[in-house]
Amino acid sequence: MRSSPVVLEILAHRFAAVVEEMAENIRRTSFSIFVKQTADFGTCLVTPDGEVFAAPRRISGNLMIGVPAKAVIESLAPYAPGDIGLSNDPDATGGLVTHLPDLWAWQPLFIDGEIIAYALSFVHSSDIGGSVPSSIDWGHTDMHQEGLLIPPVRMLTAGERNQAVFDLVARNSRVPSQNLGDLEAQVAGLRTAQRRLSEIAESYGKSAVEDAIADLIDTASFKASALLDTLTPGSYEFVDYVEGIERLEADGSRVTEVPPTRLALRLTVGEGRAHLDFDGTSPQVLEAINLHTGGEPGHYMLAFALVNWFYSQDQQIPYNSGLVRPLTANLPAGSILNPRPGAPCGVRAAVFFRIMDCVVGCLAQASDRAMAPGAGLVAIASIAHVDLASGERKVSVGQPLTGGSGGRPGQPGISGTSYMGGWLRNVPNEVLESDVPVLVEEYKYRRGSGGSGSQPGGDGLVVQIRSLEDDVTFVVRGLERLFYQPFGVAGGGPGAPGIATLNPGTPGERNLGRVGSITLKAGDVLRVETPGGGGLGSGAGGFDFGEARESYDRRFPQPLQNQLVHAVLGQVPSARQAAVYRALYLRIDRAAGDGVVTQAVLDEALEAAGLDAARVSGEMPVADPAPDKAHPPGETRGEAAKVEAPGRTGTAPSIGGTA
Amino acid sequence: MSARYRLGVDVGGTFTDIVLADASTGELRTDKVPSDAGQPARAVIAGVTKMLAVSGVEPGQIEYFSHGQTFALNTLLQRTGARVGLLVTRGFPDLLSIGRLRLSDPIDYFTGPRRPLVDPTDVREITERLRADGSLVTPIDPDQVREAVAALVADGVEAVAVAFLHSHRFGHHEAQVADIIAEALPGLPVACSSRLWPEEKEYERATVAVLAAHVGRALGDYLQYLSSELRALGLDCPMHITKSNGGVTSIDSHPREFLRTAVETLLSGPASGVAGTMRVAATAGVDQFITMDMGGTSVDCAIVDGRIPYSTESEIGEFPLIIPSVEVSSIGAGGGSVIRVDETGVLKVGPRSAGAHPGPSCYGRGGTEPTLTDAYVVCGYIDPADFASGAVTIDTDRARTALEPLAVKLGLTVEALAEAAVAVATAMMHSQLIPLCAQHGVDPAGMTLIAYGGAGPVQAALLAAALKMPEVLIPNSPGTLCAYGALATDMRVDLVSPVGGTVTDAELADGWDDLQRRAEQWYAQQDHRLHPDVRITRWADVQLSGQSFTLPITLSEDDISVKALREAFTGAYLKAYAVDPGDADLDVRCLRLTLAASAFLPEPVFAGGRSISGTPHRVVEDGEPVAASIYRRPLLPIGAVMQGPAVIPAPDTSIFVPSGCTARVDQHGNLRITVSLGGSHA
Repeated sequence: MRSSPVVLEILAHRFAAVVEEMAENIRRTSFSIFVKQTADFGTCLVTPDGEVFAAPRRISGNLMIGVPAKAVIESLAPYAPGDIGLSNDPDATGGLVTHLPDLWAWQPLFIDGEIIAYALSFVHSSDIGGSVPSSIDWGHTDMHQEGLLIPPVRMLTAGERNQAVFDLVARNSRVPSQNLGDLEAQVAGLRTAQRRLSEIAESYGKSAVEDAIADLIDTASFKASALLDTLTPGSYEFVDYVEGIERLEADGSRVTEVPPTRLALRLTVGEGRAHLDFDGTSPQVLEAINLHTGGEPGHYMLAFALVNWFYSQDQQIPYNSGLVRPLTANLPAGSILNPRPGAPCGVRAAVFFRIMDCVVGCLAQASDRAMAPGAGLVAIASIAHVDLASGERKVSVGQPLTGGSGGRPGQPGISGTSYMGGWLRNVPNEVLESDVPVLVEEYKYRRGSGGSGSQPGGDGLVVQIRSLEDDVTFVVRGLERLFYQPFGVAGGGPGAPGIATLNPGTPGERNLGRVGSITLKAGDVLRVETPGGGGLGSGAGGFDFGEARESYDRRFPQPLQNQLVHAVLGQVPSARQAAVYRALYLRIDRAAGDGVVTQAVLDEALEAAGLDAARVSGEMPVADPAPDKAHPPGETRGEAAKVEAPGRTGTAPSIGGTA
Repeated sequence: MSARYRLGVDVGGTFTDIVLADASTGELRTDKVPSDAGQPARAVIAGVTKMLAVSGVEPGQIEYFSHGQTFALNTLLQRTGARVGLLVTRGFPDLLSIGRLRLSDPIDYFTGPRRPLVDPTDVREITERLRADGSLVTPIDPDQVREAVAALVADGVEAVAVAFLHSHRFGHHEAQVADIIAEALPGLPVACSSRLWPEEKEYERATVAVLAAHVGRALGDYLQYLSSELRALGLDCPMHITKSNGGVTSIDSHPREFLRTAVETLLSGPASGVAGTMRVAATAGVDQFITMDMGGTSVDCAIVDGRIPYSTESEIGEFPLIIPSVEVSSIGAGGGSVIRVDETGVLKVGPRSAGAHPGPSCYGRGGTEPTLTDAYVVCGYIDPADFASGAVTIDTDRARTALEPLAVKLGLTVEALAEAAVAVATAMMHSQLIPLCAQHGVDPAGMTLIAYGGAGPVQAALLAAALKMPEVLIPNSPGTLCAYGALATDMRVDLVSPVGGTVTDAELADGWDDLQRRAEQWYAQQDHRLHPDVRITRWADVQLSGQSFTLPITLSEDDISVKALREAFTGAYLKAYAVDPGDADLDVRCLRLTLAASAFLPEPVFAGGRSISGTPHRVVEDGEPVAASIYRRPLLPIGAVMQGPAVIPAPDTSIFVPSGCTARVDQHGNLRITVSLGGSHA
């Protein structure tokens, strides 16, 4: 360690003060409802190499550990003091930006004429243009539908405003003054960072600051490795899905319209490291759920579950990107976790949440203190109607629809919310009813929905709302786990799946699936029941996925799903992968009919598409998963996904615990 | 006529403080007696009896008694009050445990669930429903109410809270239920959310009712015992109790009012400290300051930007409190925080505290862990020979012994280790105060730090230097500031009335007139002989239509109009968001009114002592013992100037003046420390 054990602790507190002050300044002065209600903003300090060394713990949505900052730092180099960069471009920022409403800003922090760190911040702005208000829609098929793209630009040059940048952003938003307010808030926050870091360097000296930065990251890395070493060394596999869409035919049969999106993780732990191999994960998809990671192995949206796991066991652990240093990853190019430039991405949270569950599923196999997953969704309902008196369209503030958390060692799951949306606040029902013409008939726990077990999962919520007028539109985004239940762990039972029902208990009762948008007449009732958390059993028994998932696994065996993914990613030109994958899947699904997908069915479909079925197995380029051969951090970080190791002949991933 | 006196009393965890003020001269006498955890009133009686005897004052000469207590708060925190049953609108049985959903720590997988004060089996859904506009959906079924309450009481419930949807505007269903219960079970305490605090937000309003039901009767019994004992002692004067809003209210009101008193006094302890500070600061000519009340486990801070900060989003333990309360935040470490070296070899202070029992090692009360107070002692910042008027004996050897292993581990001298621990504690306080200031939009540089509480004056100048605050003020009696605040503060009531939507000039005027009538009615019921000077403040929670965050807007009396409201809102909005709201519709969520009546009390005359001669002492700075001086505070005359490094023991605290800082005694007896802002810590 370079620092004195005293100065290190002092500077750790001082750095924390800088990022928290930035965050409080943004929270106080920003306009965005996402900041005020859902804390969807963030601040951090990073090293010149782009590693986060300080981030707030309790203020914002806490998605800062593993933020890849190197690309934006390089994008505008060289810098002058007072430069502030701006971008919302996922492709140009190497995975820093994951969807367009997040406006990221950064500033070099100079001490004695030399850059010793960068301050970063982002705000989820209310609207950045594009085809729909708020800029986010599942149905977007092209990033250009999602709004204005801002490649890295200077919004301030040496402290001087580039007014054209502000004007350009404002002109391309439906809420220009809000966006300007959000940008100003970030500028103010970043300037604070420079002032405070200068004060710190004045008191303690530049070299002490640099030493402390390095030591804090090293300490986090060291402690994270030690925690990884508490896991049983080995490889653990888990597959989960973002649900697809099925159409119910008149004869009662179901026809797949959108395939489920397969997320496959093989987590290998040992020797203080963890390798996240996403081989077998779906090619990028046509819907706007692609997750731009820039191929970064410690990307914040991949590492979140592990970072929280570290923090949960040691709340004193330095909260910085040292926590992701022990991580390497294989993120197959063209997969939904490392998509091509231009892949639509507004609702990438759906994939992010499911990856958390994949990690929880792997940890459950590797740890003797297993935990069950939560309900796995963060849905938001907002209600719009036309005010009869004024003729104006009014939209209520979004009501979060979250489900229970999973059972934990020594504790049952929490009801009504989980770690995925744990920072969300609900809207008081009194406020909702005075804003829009509805009557909330029930708002309570969904009793019995948590998975069974010695530590049962938390219950979901029941929200039942009656419309009091015609033409009241509900927009519900983010409902998930409507088929595939939050799984039970170690003998625990699965949480109940979610369900949204129109006019329950009447002849017109109808299952609304994901809902999306639905317009109600006076007297219509919408009932949403969110999933319960998975149950944690007493140790005997593996995972319990529930009937829907188990029958899907029987219908389309995992090894065949894996072959399909490999065939598309390995043989189809990258620009066509999403469409070909979709078409192939639907063809296979139809061909299987009431039966199951067999090797013959798969091969026939692949051949018809001009793909070579024989080439599929074992030929998929993957990175070497062995941790001992992983490259040391600093050298190849960000490149792991591009490394093509020699073909590995191994068993196809199967579902952990049932294998 | 013989001289008249006023008494202020504050019950703390360790000591009960008594302040006696001469009503005509303002001269103060202070004393401390040990608190009595079993029956706090006994210590109050003992302290008052002793004070009267020592001062030679007859009980009949006392014209005013004011009292701050932690009885209600402790009852709540220990959950030892009444078992409460809750009646809610059908469809909302989990109102208390769902709360506002947000987890206390969303990234901790082991976060515990909310633990409501009402057991889930003690909640009853009542068949009733009103819409937001007050129209009836489902009437109350009196039989169902009677059955529900009878079953609760049969099961052991001791008090009932009632919280129905929209009762803040339309309270008749709650009132009807209260009547039904009063008829069926007279004597059962019933707390209606609409009567106690009619503000929208069903969870927070229900919480007000539940807290009142839980604590009300216990507090009532305590206050009745206390006042009858004081009467028996011969006191025949108005008796008051301090509230969370920093003001006072009369004790001798109707027992039904104890429910209200209970929720209004929960945060009164820190509030009366801030109220006392306000008065000290006003006489000292300081109006931008941060208060620092440092105890055993934490530092309580309030940021005062010209006026007392109020919050309508306070928290008590796990519960939200929306009744306006003086905004006080707990930060950093306290004197009992344990010092340790973690497994990576880094020096840490806290988060654990040795608390009051066993306390720091140097107290010799059985504690062996090294604490921040032990570090102060080893550094010489506390004079072991003169601490707390001898109430606690300081054993420097025990402090050294406790710190020694850590020093060995880090290869430092015990002195250097102790100073390093103090520096870490300073950095912790700094790192939490900076974001707090940012939250309020103020910069600590340029503000004064006013320190009190046992340990505050030891640590204050070090913290001020880290925050670049130019001045520290230590009040004349920093150890009894809460008791002084209790006797010197305003009589004050806050009222709220829901609105919801756009308003007209007439609605504004009528709404505030109605609140003013209610406030004046309250004032008339108070024993307000010594609080003649009434001020009214009209304010409102306003937001843009369709938004979900309100700003508090205050209007002056001479222009109550929508136009004035809009102008004030535009100003506040620009300040908060740097954006002009334009002519978008305003949505007024509630009107608020505050009535404050100030007491006339002369400023205390400070006579001062006659000696500024210091005795030699040593303190640790930059890792080395350096020569310093000790000055006895009670001996210091007005205008005395002392250069740091110096230690100034006082009967109720100890003050450390670091090198480069200068301390001066002002005409009111406050110690003003000018902080050196240069210098390096490297």
